[in-house]
Amino acid sequence: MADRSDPVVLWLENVRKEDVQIVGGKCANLGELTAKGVRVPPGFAVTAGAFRRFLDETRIGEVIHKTLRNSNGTRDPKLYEEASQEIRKIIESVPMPADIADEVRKAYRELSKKTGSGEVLVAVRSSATGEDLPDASFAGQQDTFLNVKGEEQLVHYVRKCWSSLYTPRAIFYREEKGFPHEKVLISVGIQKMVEAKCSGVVFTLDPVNGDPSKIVIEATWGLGEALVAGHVSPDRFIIDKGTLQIIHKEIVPKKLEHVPNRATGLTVQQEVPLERRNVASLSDHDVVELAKIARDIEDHYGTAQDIEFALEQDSSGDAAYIVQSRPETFWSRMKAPTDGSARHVIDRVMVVQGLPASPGLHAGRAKIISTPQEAGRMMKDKDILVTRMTNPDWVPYMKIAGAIVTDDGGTTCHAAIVSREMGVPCIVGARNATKLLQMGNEYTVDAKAGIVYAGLVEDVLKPAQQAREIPTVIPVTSTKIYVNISLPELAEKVARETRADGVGLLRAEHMMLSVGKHPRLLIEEGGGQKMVNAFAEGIRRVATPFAPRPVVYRCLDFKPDEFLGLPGGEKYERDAGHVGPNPLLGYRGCFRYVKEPDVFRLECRAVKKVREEFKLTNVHVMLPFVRTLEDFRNARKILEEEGLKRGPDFKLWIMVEVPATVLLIDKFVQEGIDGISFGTNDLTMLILGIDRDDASIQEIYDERNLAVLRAMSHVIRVCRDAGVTTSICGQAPSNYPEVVEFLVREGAVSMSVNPDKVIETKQLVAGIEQKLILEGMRKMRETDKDPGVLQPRWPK
Amino acid sequence: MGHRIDVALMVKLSIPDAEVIVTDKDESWVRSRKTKRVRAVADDVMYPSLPIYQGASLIYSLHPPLEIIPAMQALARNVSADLLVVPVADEREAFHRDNWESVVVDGRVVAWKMKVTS
Repeated sequence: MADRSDPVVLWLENVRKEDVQIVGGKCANLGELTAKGVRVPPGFAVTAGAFRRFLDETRIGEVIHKTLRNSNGTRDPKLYEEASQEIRKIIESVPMPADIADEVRKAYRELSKKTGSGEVLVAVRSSATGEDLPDASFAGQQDTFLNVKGEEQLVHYVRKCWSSLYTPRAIFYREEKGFPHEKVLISVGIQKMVEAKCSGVVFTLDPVNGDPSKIVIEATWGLGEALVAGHVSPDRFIIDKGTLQIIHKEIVPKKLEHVPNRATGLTVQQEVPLERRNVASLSDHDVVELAKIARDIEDHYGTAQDIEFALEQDSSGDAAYIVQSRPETFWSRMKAPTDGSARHVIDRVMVVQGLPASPGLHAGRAKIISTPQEAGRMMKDKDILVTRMTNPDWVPYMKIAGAIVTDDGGTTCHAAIVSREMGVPCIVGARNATKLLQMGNEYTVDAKAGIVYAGLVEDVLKPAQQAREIPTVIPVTSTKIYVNISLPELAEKVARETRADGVGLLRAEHMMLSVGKHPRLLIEEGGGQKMVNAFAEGIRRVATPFAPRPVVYRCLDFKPDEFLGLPGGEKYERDAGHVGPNPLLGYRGCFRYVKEPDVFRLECRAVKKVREEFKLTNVHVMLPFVRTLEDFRNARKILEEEGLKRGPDFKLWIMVEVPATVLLIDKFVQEGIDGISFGTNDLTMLILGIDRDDASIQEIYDERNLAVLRAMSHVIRVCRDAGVTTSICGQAPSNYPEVVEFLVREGAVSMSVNPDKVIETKQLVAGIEQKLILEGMRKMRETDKDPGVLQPRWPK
Repeated sequence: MGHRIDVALMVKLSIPDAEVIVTDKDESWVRSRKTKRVRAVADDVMYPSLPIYQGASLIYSLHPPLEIIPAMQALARNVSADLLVVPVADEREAFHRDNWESVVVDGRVVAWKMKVTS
């Protein structure tokens, strides 16, 4: 029950952060900032006690809580909606107790006087008592009203703020977080409106990656509503928190701004005049000043903050007002436990993961260190050294470290090499280790798995039974084992780790996704060269680590529906009528290149660029889903026109995926191809008449079906006789060892498998090849061609 | 995870109570695509910052390159989340193994799921 002697109104300068229960989190924080000397728009809070009195004296509190009891626990949105409507109607229709209304009016008159206005324009903001607690952001749950003017309007909007404590979303949120409704009250903050020239948000860590060494400011013209609502893209500034230097500046066109409408008192959206659109909304001086204020606020609260500001222009220049500051909740909740609760955990809490560079286990305290000088001051024997990357100056401290974890680097970086020499467990390339690990906390470093766990993890540290490591032998095989590559940036790693004999399938689809637009839209916007460059770069990244081993680039074979996710996809696929009932059988493959040669030519130019400009002549081309000889001829003609003509060092392959290609393989050979590769996924689908997407017939989908094997056998024999190389890049050899044996026996020249299957397939093929040799020798003995072939040869 | 923030927004609209986070290793893309409803953060699934994913009940990806699937599987196991993948048509057969099961809608296989949680 509220006491009538409790204050109805409190001026912000008299409020402190401890007063959350009286004025709510928002007002308490603003009061705290005001007291600290931060420039906050002047104002007052209508206390939560006033709201409590309103509920009690009008007896609507009982009605509200009864209504909520009926709705909660059901998780039915409709019931929340109904309860919300009912409650809000009651709050907004019942008059405010007279003495409370009088106090509010009186304070408003005083604020008007203080600010030198007849009737000052104010912002009326809700400030719930559960709001802005460190672990529960109630932000945006309740309403805010801007440009409110006059005593009666103010009283009206205070009640509207009160009722916004019961929006369906707010009711649901409280239930999710377990805040009892009756314990969460609402206060209302009333502040002078800032005539914002520009507004924005300051984060005292980088919201995109949680980097606490950065301050990020987003700003736009006018009031901050457009930015908060996500209607405009803001200018973005990244500032180094330590030096306050601007390290990144991104000024974007700002077409819209929100400004107050003097006549109506409301906020309107208007176009930004042309002369301001491309101008930075904050000067460098303002950016640095805001960053400094934000850093001070973070220091004051001891936790990362999310701060809203507005910049007002007065006679003395720009004045930055802080209109809200609240704890950043996303990254702060992700920090590893600091209270020691992670000790002796059974469930391992993993904090970071990286590349295992020097095997071993170690548990100790983390020291997050930027320079060798810092290391000299802070490193103690057996500490875990956590840094971005080491260099020779670090060696003395690496020697005393129990383990080393670095953000950057690969397995051949300085930290990796030196730690291996020293026998110190080391994880490199852990990306965010310096951010996510905390100074002085205990961690367990498992450098064999490349994982850092929070606390001391006993079952990790327990001496494991020494398993005998069997070295992996990668045999040399007569049948070439190629690898399928989708992601160019991993090609170097794949080449190094698998020692594949080449790339039997370089997919173009993920390069297209990286370009991020439908190719036709790119062409329409004049950005065709962007696609050429992106594809060339992707192909180069694969061809370089594999050179001189062959790389077979398969031209783009997205199905029409797979383009839909790209901007322009709807227009150029669905609206163009390309997305049929079964895209796998639709507008795709070689047919598409002939229909849209301008797109295909971009791919050709990318390949040519790699071969001619980058001198990577190990790149060859494979045409997918070839249905007819005519399509093949037309596509080949385009290739030739673009300078990709078959020759001793440029090979043209086709994929054999369609039964027609199987049946006409001799004709294709005569037309002129250098190689074929089975696409067993589609070939199986088409030979067996199975829709690959139809769940009801999946059980008979099997690449090992005799009909599929016979088709492959026929093609291999025809190609072998004609000297055309044969390969496979479908999933069959990756999934079924018996298919591998079949292909080796039939005489396939190569097979291309997923990266994780290369070594296994090489070992398998080596065994099969040895078996074939043995079988051949036995057969020779049986046929008496060379009876001594298996006889031991004794020295004479 | 990946570039499809439009899909994440649709997920958020369909399940408003869910917290949806989009991750992509391309930091500049993430910065340019931040939305109010769905949080986008920069992270590389090959070397994930595990706290971002801890507590997730589902990790999903549309058209991920096959090479990153093992990393996604390891991540899902690490944080005990289910994993849902919509592969490109050409790579679907790679999911005909291990502990993947197809997700069928109206009789069509639309995705593949690896169930980690019990």
